[in-house]
Amino acid sequence: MSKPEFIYTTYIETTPEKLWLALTDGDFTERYWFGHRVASAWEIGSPYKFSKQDETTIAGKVLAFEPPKRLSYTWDNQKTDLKHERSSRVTFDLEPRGKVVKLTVTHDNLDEGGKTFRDISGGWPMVLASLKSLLETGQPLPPMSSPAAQG
Amino acid sequence: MRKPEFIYVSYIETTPERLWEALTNSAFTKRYWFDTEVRSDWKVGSPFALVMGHFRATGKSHTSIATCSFHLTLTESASRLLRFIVFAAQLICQSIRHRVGLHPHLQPGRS
Repeated sequence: MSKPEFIYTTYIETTPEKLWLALTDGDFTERYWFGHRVASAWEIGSPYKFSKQDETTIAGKVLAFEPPKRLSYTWDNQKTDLKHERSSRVTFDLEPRGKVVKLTVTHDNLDEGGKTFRDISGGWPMVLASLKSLLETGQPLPPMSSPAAQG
Repeated sequence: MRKPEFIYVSYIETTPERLWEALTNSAFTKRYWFDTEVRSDWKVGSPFALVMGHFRATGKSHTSIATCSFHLTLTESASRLLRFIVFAAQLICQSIRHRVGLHPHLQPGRS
């Protein structure tokens, strides 16, 4: 049986260079990634982390760094209830298509039936929709209410 | 064995009413769906068609207009309809790529 993986493709009207910056610059990620800043030396094998209000939320190490085409890192959620799950892997592939960039995010090496798979399946569409909005309009998505909060 | 299905989630800064209009108004779909018009009277059980006009089918000396339609029976489930539309869009994009190459807007190097 194949391991679960999550693949999401979106097309963004931007340049590969701007999209690359958006994925690797903390000031940028803070704006669309709902307050999460990324930080790393961005060398293969070096550590990276996402933090929000000085608390580390995601950490791992850089697996591939080929600007502006491919970025890959391991993914360890720092929440205590997810610590027992295996380290998963995120890969961003950027392909220029004229004035548009095709972005494919692949999240694999996930635990079968794990909470991480469930969490990231809900999370990536939000993060990537906000990233697209920021690059195309200059503004990320506004804060969202949970479905339960809708009337 | 499970049937394949395609599910895609996106978040859009808009209202449900405007998004609904974007999915059901043919002038609207033509703008973002690469010249595809949706046609239906949107009653449950009514026919539904996606119509692409003005696609030059090949690079031959005469130009022909390729029109293709998809039909389904509307269900009362809006989410199913939306899923079908996204799925149909994939099929259309595939068929366009095979027959006439990428849409000009998506071709590398075209400005």
